[in-house]
Amino acid sequence: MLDWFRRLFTRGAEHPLDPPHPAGAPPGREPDLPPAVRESLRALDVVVESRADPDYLWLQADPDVIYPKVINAIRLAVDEEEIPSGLAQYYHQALTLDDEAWRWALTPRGQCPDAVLAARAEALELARRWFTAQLHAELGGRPIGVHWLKRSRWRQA
Amino acid sequence: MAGTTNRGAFRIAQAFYRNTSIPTNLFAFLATSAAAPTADTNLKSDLTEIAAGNGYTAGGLSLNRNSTDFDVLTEDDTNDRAFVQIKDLVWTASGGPIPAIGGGARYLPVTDDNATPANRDVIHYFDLAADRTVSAGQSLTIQDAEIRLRNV
Repeated sequence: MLDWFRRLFTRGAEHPLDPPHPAGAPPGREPDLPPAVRESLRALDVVVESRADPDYLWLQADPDVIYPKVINAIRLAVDEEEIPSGLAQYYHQALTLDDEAWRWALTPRGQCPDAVLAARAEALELARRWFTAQLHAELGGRPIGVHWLKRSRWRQA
Repeated sequence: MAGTTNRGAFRIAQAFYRNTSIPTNLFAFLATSAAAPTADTNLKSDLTEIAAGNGYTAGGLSLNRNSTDFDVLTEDDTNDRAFVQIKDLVWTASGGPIPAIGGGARYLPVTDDNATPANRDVIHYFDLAADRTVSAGQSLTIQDAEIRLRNV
């Protein structure tokens, strides 16, 4: 009885009225996010995906929207020799890729000759990781899940 | 090159389908280039851990099986695969370099938590691309190590 009473008045995760974790939400219900976080998500062109996963904030990423923006951002960073905060390892990896790789990365998979597929895949993979790291940092390092939608033109292999 | 060992794939399947042999936690340790991990690597004793000391503890860092230590998940429908990312791992050298002696850190294997460290199953491994050493006061940080699960 005392334990129950203590739990009821302890504003912790065990409180019966609290969600198990502020990051998640039951399926079909949007998690309760601060306006600043919602603004960041809008700026990064992702939408919240409701899942029965209380520990992670799940976000939906559309390759048609994300890849062109991220690839442009990477190329701009390289051109201007500006290392984005927290993305140094990806920036240095980007320096090893040439313009051709980025051009093919933006070309639909079905229009790419076999000879360019490896470099194209490397560029797209770097873009995915760059974006994921940026998203994670933007959300203060909270646990996240990223769901990339199916868009065959961006397929790597 | 990163990968999951065959032993690791077996352990994951065993945990998921049989709900058995589930480790309480995992360990990420640093290994030298003396022996490269491959899909066929089974035990920690198949690899050579860097020398302990100066901020590096034998056996490596403990990882809890939760959203704090595995903080990014990815489900990729475009490429039919999924990823689990490990939190940033940091070793800070104090009183001398890491490794204290011997070869630098070339690989990051992830093991289970067998009470006998040498008998720990190697589940995943990451190639750090070069032998890594840090001087006293510097940190060795492994950022965004990502475990890949592929649907082939």
